[in-house]
Amino acid sequence: MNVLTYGEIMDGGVSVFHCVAREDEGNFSLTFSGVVRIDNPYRYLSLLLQDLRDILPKREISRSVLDFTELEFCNSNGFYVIMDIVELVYLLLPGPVLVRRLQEDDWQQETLPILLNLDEESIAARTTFEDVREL
Amino acid sequence: MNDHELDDEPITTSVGLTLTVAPMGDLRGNLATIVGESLLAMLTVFYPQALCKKANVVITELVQNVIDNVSDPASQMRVDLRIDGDALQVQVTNKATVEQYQVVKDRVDQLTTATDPKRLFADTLRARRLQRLRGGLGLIRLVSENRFRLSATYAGEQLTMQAVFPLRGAQ
Repeated sequence: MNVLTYGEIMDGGVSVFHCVAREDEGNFSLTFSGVVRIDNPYRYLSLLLQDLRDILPKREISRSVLDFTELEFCNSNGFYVIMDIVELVYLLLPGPVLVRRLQEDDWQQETLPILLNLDEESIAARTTFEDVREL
Repeated sequence: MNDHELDDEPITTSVGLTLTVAPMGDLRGNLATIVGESLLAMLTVFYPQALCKKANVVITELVQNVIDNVSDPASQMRVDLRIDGDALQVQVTNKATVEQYQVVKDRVDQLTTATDPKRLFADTLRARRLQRLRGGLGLIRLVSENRFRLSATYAGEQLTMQAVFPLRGAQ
Protein backbone atom coordinates (compact mmCIF):
# COMPACT_ATOMS: atom_id res chain seq x y z
CA MET A 1 0.00 0.00 0.00
CA ASN A 2 1.15 3.53 -0.70
CA VAL A 3 1.63 5.84 2.27
CA LEU A 4 -0.39 9.01 1.66
CA THR A 5 0.56 10.86 4.84
CA TYR A 6 1.29 10.28 8.49
CA GLY A 7 1.31 12.03 11.83
CA GLU A 8 3.57 11.44 14.77
CA ILE A 9 3.60 12.54 18.40
CA MET A 10 6.91 13.00 20.18
CA ASP A 11 7.03 12.98 23.97
CA GLY A 12 10.26 13.49 25.87
CA GLY A 13 12.24 13.14 22.66
CA VAL A 14 10.68 9.76 21.88
CA SER A 15 8.17 8.88 19.17
CA VAL A 16 5.10 7.63 21.06
CA PHE A 17 2.24 7.73 18.54
CA HIS A 18 1.84 7.20 14.79
CA CYS A 19 -1.15 7.64 12.57
CA VAL A 20 -0.47 6.42 9.02
CA ALA A 21 -2.79 6.86 6.02
CA ARG A 22 -2.36 4.35 3.18
CA GLU A 23 -4.14 3.65 -0.09
CA ASP A 24 -4.07 0.78 -2.53
CA GLU A 25 -6.41 0.24 -5.48
CA GLY A 26 -9.36 2.01 -3.93
CA ASN A 27 -8.77 0.69 -0.43
CA PHE A 28 -7.91 3.28 2.20
CA SER A 29 -6.51 2.46 5.61
CA LEU A 30 -5.71 4.59 8.60
CA THR A 31 -3.76 2.94 11.41
CA PHE A 32 -3.37 4.33 14.91
CA SER A 33 -0.50 3.01 17.01
CA GLY A 34 1.23 3.85 20.27
CA VAL A 35 -0.07 6.09 23.05
CA VAL A 36 -1.76 9.49 23.12
CA ARG A 37 -0.85 10.93 26.50
CA ILE A 38 0.33 14.47 25.90
CA ASP A 39 -1.57 17.58 26.90
CA ASN A 40 -2.09 19.00 23.40
CA PRO A 41 -1.91 16.44 20.56
CA TYR A 42 -2.94 19.09 17.99
CA ARG A 43 0.55 20.51 18.34
CA TYR A 44 1.79 17.43 16.48
CA LEU A 45 -1.20 16.31 14.42
CA SER A 46 -2.49 19.53 12.82
CA LEU A 47 -0.41 18.89 9.70
CA LEU A 48 -1.86 15.38 9.40
CA LEU A 49 -5.37 16.81 9.57
CA GLN A 50 -4.55 19.35 6.86
CA ASP A 51 -2.97 16.64 4.68
CA LEU A 52 -6.07 14.47 4.99
CA ARG A 53 -8.27 17.43 4.02
CA ASP A 54 -6.11 18.06 0.96
CA ILE A 55 -5.43 14.49 -0.16
CA LEU A 56 -8.56 12.45 0.48
CA PRO A 57 -10.93 14.29 -1.90
CA LYS A 58 -8.51 13.60 -4.77
CA ARG A 59 -8.36 9.83 -4.28
CA GLU A 60 -10.75 7.28 -5.72
CA ILE A 61 -11.57 5.28 -2.63
CA SER A 62 -14.37 2.73 -2.35
CA ARG A 63 -13.78 1.32 1.13
CA SER A 64 -11.87 2.27 4.27
CA VAL A 65 -10.34 0.62 7.31
CA LEU A 66 -9.75 2.42 10.60
CA ASP A 67 -7.38 0.26 12.63
CA PHE A 68 -7.07 1.01 16.36
CA THR A 69 -5.64 -2.37 17.40
CA GLU A 70 -2.15 -0.97 17.91
CA LEU A 71 -3.37 2.03 19.92
CA GLU A 72 -2.40 1.23 23.49
CA PHE A 73 -3.75 4.25 25.33
CA CYS A 74 -5.58 7.51 24.70
CA ASN A 75 -6.01 10.10 27.43
CA SER A 76 -9.05 12.34 27.48
CA ASN A 77 -7.05 15.19 25.92
CA GLY A 78 -6.70 13.00 22.83
CA PHE A 79 -10.40 12.44 22.23
CA TYR A 80 -11.02 15.54 20.11
CA VAL A 81 -8.15 14.94 17.70
CA ILE A 82 -9.26 11.33 17.18
CA MET A 83 -12.76 12.67 16.47
CA ASP A 84 -11.38 15.19 13.99
CA ILE A 85 -9.37 12.54 12.13
CA VAL A 86 -12.15 9.97 11.79
CA GLU A 87 -14.68 12.66 10.93
CA LEU A 88 -12.59 13.59 7.88
CA VAL A 89 -12.62 9.98 6.70
CA TYR A 90 -16.40 9.74 6.92
CA LEU A 91 -16.85 13.18 5.42
CA LEU A 92 -14.40 12.99 2.52
CA LEU A 93 -14.52 9.32 1.51
CA PRO A 94 -17.48 7.27 0.32
CA GLY A 95 -18.22 3.65 1.05
CA PRO A 96 -18.14 1.26 3.96
CA VAL A 97 -15.79 1.72 6.92
CA LEU A 98 -14.39 -1.24 8.82
CA VAL A 99 -13.24 -0.36 12.33
CA ARG A 100 -10.71 -2.79 13.79
CA ARG A 101 -10.50 -2.54 17.57
CA LEU A 102 -9.37 -4.50 20.59
CA GLN A 103 -11.97 -6.80 22.10
CA GLU A 104 -10.78 -6.27 25.68
CA ASP A 105 -10.15 -2.56 25.96
CA ASP A 106 -12.61 -0.26 27.73
CA TRP A 107 -11.69 2.75 25.63
CA GLN A 108 -12.03 0.97 22.29
CA GLN A 109 -15.26 -0.80 23.23
CA GLU A 110 -17.07 1.95 25.15
CA THR A 111 -15.71 5.34 24.10
CA LEU A 112 -14.52 4.80 20.53
CA PRO A 113 -18.09 4.34 19.18
CA ILE A 114 -18.96 7.72 20.69
CA LEU A 115 -15.92 9.36 19.08
CA LEU A 116 -16.94 7.82 15.74
CA ASN A 117 -20.35 9.48 16.22
CA LEU A 118 -22.29 6.27 15.67
CA ASP A 119 -25.43 8.01 16.93
CA GLU A 120 -25.53 9.50 13.44
CA GLU A 121 -27.55 7.02 11.37
CA SER A 122 -25.61 7.60 8.17
CA ILE A 123 -22.33 6.87 9.94
CA ALA A 124 -23.67 3.82 11.74
CA ALA A 125 -24.98 2.43 8.46
CA ARG A 126 -21.50 2.61 6.90
CA THR A 127 -19.65 1.17 9.89
CA THR A 128 -18.84 -2.40 10.88
CA PHE A 129 -16.55 -3.50 13.69
CA GLU A 130 -13.96 -6.24 13.79
CA ASP A 131 -13.07 -7.08 17.40
CA VAL A 132 -9.53 -8.38 17.77
CA ARG A 133 -8.15 -10.21 20.80
CA GLU A 134 -4.97 -8.68 22.20
CA LEU A 135 -2.03 -11.08 22.15
CA MET B 1 -16.01 -6.62 27.16
CA ASN B 2 -13.17 -6.23 29.60
CA ASP B 3 -15.18 -7.38 32.55
CA HIS B 4 -15.43 -10.78 30.87
CA GLU B 5 -11.70 -11.18 31.20
CA LEU B 6 -12.00 -10.32 34.87
CA ASP B 7 -14.46 -13.21 35.20
CA ASP B 8 -11.80 -15.69 34.11
CA GLU B 9 -9.32 -15.37 36.94
CA PRO B 10 -10.29 -14.69 40.58
CA ILE B 11 -8.12 -11.97 42.10
CA THR B 12 -6.05 -13.48 44.91
CA THR B 13 -3.07 -11.09 45.03
CA SER B 14 -3.17 -7.88 47.04
CA VAL B 15 -1.08 -4.91 46.01
CA GLY B 16 -0.90 -1.52 47.68
CA LEU B 17 1.14 1.45 46.57
CA THR B 18 1.54 4.98 47.90
CA LEU B 19 3.21 7.83 46.04
CA THR B 20 3.80 11.26 47.49
CA VAL B 21 5.18 14.25 45.61
CA ALA B 22 6.10 17.61 47.15
CA PRO B 23 6.36 20.41 46.45
CA MET B 24 4.02 20.26 43.47
CA GLY B 25 5.70 23.34 42.05
CA ASP B 26 8.78 21.22 41.33
CA LEU B 27 6.95 18.96 38.88
CA ARG B 28 8.69 18.58 35.54
CA GLY B 29 7.74 16.43 32.57
CA ASN B 30 4.62 14.38 32.22
CA LEU B 31 4.25 12.81 35.67
CA ALA B 32 0.78 11.38 34.98
CA THR B 33 2.17 9.47 32.01
CA ILE B 34 5.19 8.17 33.88
CA VAL B 35 3.17 7.00 36.87
CA GLY B 36 0.46 5.44 34.69
CA GLU B 37 2.90 3.52 32.50
CA SER B 38 5.08 2.38 35.40
CA LEU B 39 2.02 1.12 37.21
CA LEU B 40 0.76 -0.70 34.13
CA ALA B 41 4.09 -2.47 33.74
CA MET B 42 4.19 -3.54 37.38
CA LEU B 43 0.57 -4.63 37.77
CA THR B 44 0.76 -6.78 34.63
CA VAL B 45 2.89 -9.19 36.68
CA PHE B 46 -0.09 -9.95 38.92
CA TYR B 47 -3.36 -9.08 37.22
CA PRO B 48 -5.32 -9.48 33.97
CA GLN B 49 -4.56 -6.86 31.34
CA ALA B 50 -8.09 -5.48 31.55
CA LEU B 51 -7.68 -4.60 35.22
CA CYS B 52 -4.21 -3.15 34.66
CA LYS B 53 -5.59 -0.90 31.94
CA LYS B 54 -8.29 0.36 34.30
CA ALA B 55 -5.63 1.19 36.88
CA ASN B 56 -3.58 2.97 34.24
CA VAL B 57 -6.54 5.09 33.11
CA VAL B 58 -7.70 6.06 36.59
CA ILE B 59 -4.22 7.01 37.81
CA THR B 60 -3.46 8.97 34.64
CA GLU B 61 -6.71 10.95 34.71
CA LEU B 62 -6.76 11.69 38.47
CA VAL B 63 -3.08 12.66 38.67
CA GLN B 64 -3.42 14.86 35.58
CA ASN B 65 -6.42 16.60 37.19
CA VAL B 66 -4.29 17.44 40.23
CA ILE B 67 -1.40 18.70 38.09
CA ASP B 68 -3.78 20.88 36.07
CA ASN B 69 -5.26 22.44 39.22
CA VAL B 70 -2.42 23.05 41.65
CA SER B 71 -3.57 25.81 44.02
CA ASP B 72 -0.38 25.97 46.10
CA PRO B 73 3.01 25.16 44.51
CA ALA B 74 4.38 24.29 47.97
CA SER B 75 1.72 21.62 48.57
CA GLN B 76 1.86 17.82 48.34
CA MET B 77 0.02 15.23 46.28
CA ARG B 78 -0.57 11.77 47.67
CA VAL B 79 -1.68 8.82 45.53
CA ASP B 80 -2.87 5.58 47.15
CA LEU B 81 -3.69 2.52 45.07
CA ARG B 82 -4.94 -0.77 46.43
CA ILE B 83 -6.04 -3.90 44.61
CA ASP B 84 -7.38 -6.99 46.35
CA GLY B 85 -10.11 -9.52 45.79
CA ASP B 86 -12.79 -6.94 46.54
CA ALA B 87 -11.86 -3.91 44.49
CA LEU B 88 -9.43 -1.72 42.63
CA GLN B 89 -9.36 1.44 44.70
CA VAL B 90 -7.48 4.68 44.10
CA GLN B 91 -7.37 7.79 46.28
CA VAL B 92 -5.66 10.98 45.21
CA THR B 93 -5.30 13.76 47.80
CA ASN B 94 -4.04 17.29 47.26
CA LYS B 95 -4.44 20.77 48.66
CA ALA B 96 -7.42 22.59 47.16
CA THR B 97 -9.58 25.61 47.84
CA VAL B 98 -13.19 25.28 48.95
CA GLU B 99 -14.22 26.61 45.57
CA GLN B 100 -12.20 23.95 43.77
CA TYR B 101 -13.71 21.26 45.97
CA GLN B 102 -17.21 22.51 45.25
CA VAL B 103 -16.62 22.32 41.49
CA VAL B 104 -15.33 18.76 41.83
CA LYS B 105 -18.15 17.73 44.17
CA ASP B 106 -20.81 19.12 41.83
CA ARG B 107 -19.24 17.19 38.96
CA VAL B 108 -19.06 13.97 40.96
CA ASP B 109 -22.66 14.39 42.12
CA GLN B 110 -23.75 14.87 38.52
CA LEU B 111 -21.92 11.72 37.47
CA THR B 112 -23.04 9.51 40.34
CA THR B 113 -26.70 10.45 39.86
CA ALA B 114 -26.70 10.14 36.07
CA THR B 115 -29.13 7.47 34.88
CA ASP B 116 -27.24 7.05 31.59
CA PRO B 117 -23.55 7.93 32.06
CA LYS B 118 -22.71 7.02 28.47
CA ARG B 119 -25.32 9.45 27.14
CA LEU B 120 -24.05 12.13 29.51
CA PHE B 121 -20.52 11.48 28.28
CA ALA B 122 -21.53 11.69 24.62
CA ASP B 123 -23.47 14.93 25.17
CA THR B 124 -20.67 16.49 27.23
CA LEU B 125 -18.04 15.49 24.69
CA ARG B 126 -19.93 17.02 21.78
CA ALA B 127 -20.77 20.21 23.65
CA ARG B 128 -17.17 20.78 24.74
CA ARG B 129 -15.85 19.97 21.29
CA LEU B 130 -18.14 22.56 19.71
CA GLN B 131 -16.80 25.17 22.13
CA ARG B 132 -13.23 23.95 21.49
CA LEU B 133 -12.83 23.47 25.25
CA ARG B 134 -9.88 21.38 26.27
CA GLY B 135 -9.97 18.66 28.91
CA GLY B 136 -12.86 18.28 31.32
CA LEU B 137 -13.57 14.68 30.32
CA GLY B 138 -11.39 12.71 32.72
CA LEU B 139 -13.91 12.04 35.50
CA ILE B 140 -16.83 11.29 33.22
CA ARG B 141 -14.63 8.88 31.29
CA LEU B 142 -13.87 6.97 34.48
CA VAL B 143 -17.60 6.46 35.08
CA SER B 144 -18.89 5.96 31.54
CA GLU B 145 -16.03 3.99 30.06
CA ASN B 146 -14.39 2.26 33.02
CA ARG B 147 -17.34 1.96 35.43
CA PHE B 148 -15.60 3.43 38.44
CA ARG B 149 -17.61 4.68 41.40
CA LEU B 150 -16.38 8.17 42.26
CA SER B 151 -16.56 10.18 45.45
CA ALA B 152 -14.97 13.40 46.70
CA THR B 153 -14.29 14.50 50.28
CA TYR B 154 -12.74 17.63 51.78
CA ALA B 155 -11.01 18.09 55.14
CA GLY B 156 -8.30 20.44 56.35
CA GLU B 157 -7.88 22.05 52.93
CA GLN B 158 -7.23 18.59 51.44
CA LEU B 159 -9.38 17.33 48.59
CA THR B 160 -9.51 13.54 48.22
CA MET B 161 -10.86 11.96 45.07
CA GLN B 162 -11.69 8.29 45.37
CA ALA B 163 -12.38 5.90 42.51
CA VAL B 164 -13.48 2.33 43.17
CA PHE B 165 -14.00 -0.51 40.72
CA PRO B 166 -15.62 -3.46 42.53
CA LEU B 167 -14.18 -6.85 41.65
CA ARG B 168 -16.48 -9.16 43.58
CA GLY B 169 -19.32 -8.55 41.18
CA ALA B 170 -17.05 -9.07 38.22
CA GLN B 171 -16.06 -12.57 39.31
